[in-house]
Order: sequence, then C-alpha cells, then structure tokens
Amino acid sequence: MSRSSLRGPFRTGRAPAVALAALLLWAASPAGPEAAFAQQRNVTWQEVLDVAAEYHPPGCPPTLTGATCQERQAFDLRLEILKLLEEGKSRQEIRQILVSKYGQDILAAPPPKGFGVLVWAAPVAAVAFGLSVFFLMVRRRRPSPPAGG
Amino acid sequence: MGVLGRWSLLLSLVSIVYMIAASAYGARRGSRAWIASGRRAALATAGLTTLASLSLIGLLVTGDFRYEYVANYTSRDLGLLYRIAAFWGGNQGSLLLWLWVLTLYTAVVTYARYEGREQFQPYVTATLGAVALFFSAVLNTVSQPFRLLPAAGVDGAGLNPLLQNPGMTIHPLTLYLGYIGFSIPFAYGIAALLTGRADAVWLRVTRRWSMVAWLFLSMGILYGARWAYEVLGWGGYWSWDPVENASLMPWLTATAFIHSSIVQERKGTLKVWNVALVILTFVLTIFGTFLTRSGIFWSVHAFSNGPLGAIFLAFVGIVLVASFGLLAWRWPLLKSTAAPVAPVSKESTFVLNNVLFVSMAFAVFWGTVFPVISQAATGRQMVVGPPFFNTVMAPLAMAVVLLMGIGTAAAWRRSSLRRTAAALMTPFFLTFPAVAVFIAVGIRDVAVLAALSSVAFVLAVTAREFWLGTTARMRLTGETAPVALIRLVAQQRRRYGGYLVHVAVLLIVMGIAVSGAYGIQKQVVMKPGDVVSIGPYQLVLLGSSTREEPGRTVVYSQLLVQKNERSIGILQPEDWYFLNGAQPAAQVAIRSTPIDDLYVVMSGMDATKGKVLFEIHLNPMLSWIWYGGYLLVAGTLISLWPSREAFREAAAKAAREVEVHP
Repeated sequence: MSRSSLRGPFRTGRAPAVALAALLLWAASPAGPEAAFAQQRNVTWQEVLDVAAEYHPPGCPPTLTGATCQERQAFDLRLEILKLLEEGKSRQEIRQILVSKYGQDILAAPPPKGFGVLVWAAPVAAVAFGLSVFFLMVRRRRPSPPAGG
Repeated sequence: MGVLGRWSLLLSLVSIVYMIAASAYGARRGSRAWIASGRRAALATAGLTTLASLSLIGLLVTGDFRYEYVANYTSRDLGLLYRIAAFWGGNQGSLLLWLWVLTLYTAVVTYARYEGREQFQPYVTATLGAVALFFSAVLNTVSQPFRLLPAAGVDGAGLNPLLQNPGMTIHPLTLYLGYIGFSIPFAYGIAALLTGRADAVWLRVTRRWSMVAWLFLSMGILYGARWAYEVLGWGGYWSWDPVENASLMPWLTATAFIHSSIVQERKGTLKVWNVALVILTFVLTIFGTFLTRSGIFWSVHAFSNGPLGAIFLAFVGIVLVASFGLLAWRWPLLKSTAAPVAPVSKESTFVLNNVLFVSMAFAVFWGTVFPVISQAATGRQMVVGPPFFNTVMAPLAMAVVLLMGIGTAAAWRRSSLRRTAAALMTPFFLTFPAVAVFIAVGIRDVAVLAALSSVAFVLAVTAREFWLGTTARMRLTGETAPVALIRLVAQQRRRYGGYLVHVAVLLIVMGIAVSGAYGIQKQVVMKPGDVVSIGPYQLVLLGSSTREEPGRTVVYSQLLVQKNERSIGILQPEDWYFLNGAQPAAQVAIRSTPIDDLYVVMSGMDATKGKVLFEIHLNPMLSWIWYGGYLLVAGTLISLWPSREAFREAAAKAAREVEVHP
C-alpha cells in the first residue's frame, strides 16, 4: 500500500500525456499478463498469486508481496512464477529456483534457518511461556475458603 | 494569531510544571491548598493549549503562509474541511492535537467526582502532567508548529492528496482520541501504585475511560483499514505496515486489560498484572508514535522527521523504567490475597485470553522490529512481511475466538468441566448443520472451514446466553419475547453490550477469513465494447474520457456491470493527475454488497488506441468487516451507557457532598 504502488507500472509522469508514455512502458513490460496467459489454461491466475504472496519482489515496499505489489518488478515476478507453474514445478521447486536466482531477500518472510529462526521462535516461545504461567497459576490450588472479590 | 499561539504554548510549559509540582507537593504534605492550586493549574493548562490549538486552526483556515506549517500542509485551493484536517496532517500539528486532548482530558479527570478522589486526584493530575510536559517540551523545541518561514510563501504545498478523503480526516482523529485516552487508566494505575491503593477502585473509576479509549482505537483502526481499501487501490485493507501494527499492539493489550480488569473487580486477583497491562498499553501508544515519526521503518505513513524518533524512543524508555520500577517497589503490597484461579472457571478463560492477546501483541511487535534487529545483528535487513504475520496470528486469533465461546459459557469461581461442557453441548451440535451449509456453498479450504465453524459455534454460545436470559425474564415477568430481550439488555448493559461486541468481532473474523481465502483478482486490457467476466459478473467497457477539475485532470472509464444478463450498475474508476506534479492517484470504483465487493482500479490507458488496463478484484464478504465495525461501536456504547441506578447514585452522592460541604 505504498503511495508509489498506486500507479502500477505506469508510474511515470504528470499530465494525461502520461497515458502515451504509460502505454510504451506497458508494451515493453510484461504487463497484461492475463492476455499473455489467455492461451494457457492449465494454471489459474489465482494460483500464480497464491505462490507470489510468499515472495517479496526486490524494490517493492516491505509490506507488499508479489501478489499485492504493483511495481514493475512484481509484474515480472508474477510472470516468472506463471512460467514455472506451467512447466509443472512444485511450490518447493519454485522456491529453490527463485532463492538461487535472487537470494534470500526474495522471500517475504525469513526462512526458519540461521538468524531467521529467531523471528519464528520468539512468538512460539512467548505463547509457551504464557501457557506455562497459566498452568502454574491454575494448578496452585489451595483448599481455601471461597474467595472474596 | 500565531504570536498568541506561540506564547500560549510556551506558557503551557510553565503551567504544566506548576501543575505537577503543586499536585505532588500537596499530595506528599497532605496540603489541600496546594492540591487545589494544582487543580487550577490543570484548568489553566487546558485553556492555554486550547488557545494554541485554536490559533493554529485559525492560521490554517485563513491560509497564513508566513507560517511554515501552514505552507507545508495547506494550499490556496484546499477546501475548509481539509484545511482544518491539516491540523493533524503534519507532525507539529498532530503533536499539538495530542497535547490539547491530553490536557482537556486531564482537566476533566481532575475535576471529576468519584469514590477515592481525595487520595487519587493529585497523583493522577501529576502523572498526566508529566506526560503533557513531554509533549509540551517537544512542541516548544524540536517540533514547533508556529515557526515562521524566512520569507512568506505565496501558496502552500497542499495536503497529501491521499489524505484528501472524508474518511481520512476522521481516521487520525479517532486513533489519537484512542491513544491519548489510555493515558487516563495509566495515570490511575500509577496513582494506585503511589497511594498503595491497588484494589479495584482505580479500575472501577477508569473502566469507562478504558472503554471509550478502546472504542476510539477500534474505530481508528477500522477507519484506517477502510481508507486503505478504498484509496490505496491494491484491493486489500491491511498489509502489516509498521504503523498499522503500531495501532494494533495497544489495541491487543487494551483488549486484554478490559477482560482482566473484570477478573480483578470480581475476584480481587491479577492486581500486578492489571497495572502492568495498563502501563504496557500506554507505552505502546507512545511507541506507535515513535514508529510513525522515526523514519527507521518503512511505512506508508512515514513522516520521518529528524530527531523526533529518538526523542520518543527515549521517552518510551523512561516511562518503562519508571513505571515498572514503581511496580517492582510496590510488589509486596500487590501480592494477591484472593483465592487462586480455578482451572475451570470464567476467570481462567480470561487469564488464558490474556496470554493469547499479549502473545499476539508480542508477535506483532517482534515482526515489526525484527528487520531493524536483523540489520543490527547481521548487517542485512531481513524482510518480515505478511506471510510471517498471517502464519503466526491466524492460529492465535482462532484460539481467541474459541475461547470467546468457552469463556462465555463458563461460570465464575469454580465451575466443573461437566457443567461447562453441558452448557456448550447445544451450541456444539448446532455447529454441524452450519458446517454443512458452508461446505454446500462451496467452501473447501480447511483453514477457512475451521475459522467459520469456530465462528458459528461461538455465535451459538452467545445466542444461547440471550435466549436463556430472555426466557428466564419471560417466565418471571410474563413479558413478551421482544420486550423481555430489550429489557434484559437494558438492565445488564455491560454484559450484553459486551456480547454484542463479541458478535461484532465474529462478523469481522468471517469477513477477513472469507475475503482472504476466496478473493479473486484479474488484470485485463480492454477496448470499448470488450467484456470481461469475474465471478458471477460481466463487465463491459463503455468508454473512457477526461475532464478538467481544479488542480487536476481526471481520466475516467465507465464499465457496465451485468449479472445473469441483467445490467445492475455502472462503475467509474478514475485516475487523478495533479497539476502540481504530485504522484497521480487512482480512484477505486467499488460496488459493495453483503455477498461480495466488485473493486475496479484503472491501472493505465493508451488514449490513442483506446485501450485501458484494469485491475479487477472480487472480494467476497469483505463488507462484513465494516458491518462488524458498526456493531462493535453499538455494542460498546450499550456497554458504556450509564444505568439509571448509576445516575441516581451520582445524584445522591452529589447531594450528600453538598450537605457535608455547604
């Protein structure tokens, strides 16, 4: 939801003359993937977006994924994912291919490896800690008189 | 006018210092005269900040471009509404708004009458004064709203076009009212620690404040989500942006507090925890401002502004150390004397609810700051995006929903497993036909099915509460069902208002789950006359054109919407190109129904060939999030509404006081 994401791959200029420039860009870019995609019916666009949601196209704002970002790079990435899906690659294979091509930064959340373990482990630890406090609290039962409140 | 504002702001600093000193000294010495003097200083402070705020609004409305703030956030062609909204459109103004509301609140609580006022009031006034001192000091030094430009400008830069939306004028305001509102329970919590009166009195006194603050915060979050959805044009409403997270964190801890304070009121336990939660909530509201202002975090709201971030972080640190230090010092006093929590009881579900809410708040915090931590630790900034938050938060939110049902059915004190299970039996079996319906309408996604069946289960549990209460009333009084239901809710507003808020949350959860899993998105290139289908709809491009408006050129397209071969309306997405060179802004066209939202964005066009690129989303049940929002407001208001007995009691109390002090 960046300001810059608003204008999609046509984020070019000022006046309505922009429309022309936009189309030039558009013709050159892989935009209108739906059109390119019209011939292939074995993969749905929704599947492409589902996969793309796990990635963060370089240059997109950190809070937008390959499924929501409207920058040029995101269009490229979606098309790349579309091709890989059409080749029959699994999600796992696509992940390996994209990571080896772009590096770890292509992932929209760190993999639970190396330093990235921490980001996943801490919330789990927090819940575990909270639950253990809870169980200690309710187990500490004394034969007490009814509570006054 | 600006001179008046500058001087009022400067004097407010003096009067705040005096308010703190007089109140604290009076409380220590037990001097009524000093305490009363502190009270008057609170009133004076509120007057001064009101003067300062009104003069800034005056400058904005009259368009006095000698002032930097006016030149930065307004322009000659800006309408009156947005000129006023520019008050909180920038850094200095929004901090002044914060100070203004805080000092108004301070004056109100300083003069409010309630049980235990004698002891609490000077401490509460002094604590709120300390917070106000921070804001006033910032406004008089690093972030001055009344700074003059070296040379007077002819026109201003104008308000960010994205903020020129009616919803957007309200969103920051409600959010601020919520954020600032939590200062009040915080001040009472601190006063409870200082006076050593950590029983439930401070909770009873601040219950309404907490609820009002919670209501405003909820509204602020929902407005923000709606604004993102209608204006930003990517088809969603929430992207785990640091500033969105900043508003969610205190909301989570405040929701925990609203529940755990009920446990202390009824059982006298969780004293330390309640104070800790209220401190945490307050600190998170300040931390939110740090996230917004620091510029360390990428955000759609980034108003990065030099040293302000560091100053806010320092303030967060000071508040944390001072408050938790105080809490540790008073620990012996707070040790619970009440009976422990029974494993199967309403209170144990409340404690568990707190575990979940605080864990969620922590997970959001952790995910938000992790990029910065990873940068510091490894030199490489990791992206922690929506997949992290969705994966972590979804199961916790589901657990909260289930617990909402169990907690509603469980009895206070010691309940038995069998009794609670018996209460849950009917709702449990009612869930099966609901699941059958979900499957019948085509929902196959396991996670969505799980979410929806939890929602159905909790709805049934809540409906059972209304049913039991109503039928019991009918038997006792012989009233008809609708009368009995209305009187039931009217007589136990707090409880049944709370249940309505639960139902509201369930609606919101349904909207989130279904729109999240079954949303469809298409990108299409169309020429006039082309048809595209999405879900049950066909869209026909009628044509595109342009029109000139003050300050911008508007390019628009018209699409005829058809369903079952019948025309049902026209959607008109637009693109606004600003003459001052600001980023062009897309104006989303939305056709919203309870079943689905048709959401069309014009992504680009080629005027020469008449081709237009559209981004079309079909978001099923997304509007249920907003319906849930309306119900949430209604339920909270019912819960807040004072009962007739409370009015009578207050009147009697006032009368007694008049007798004592004629």
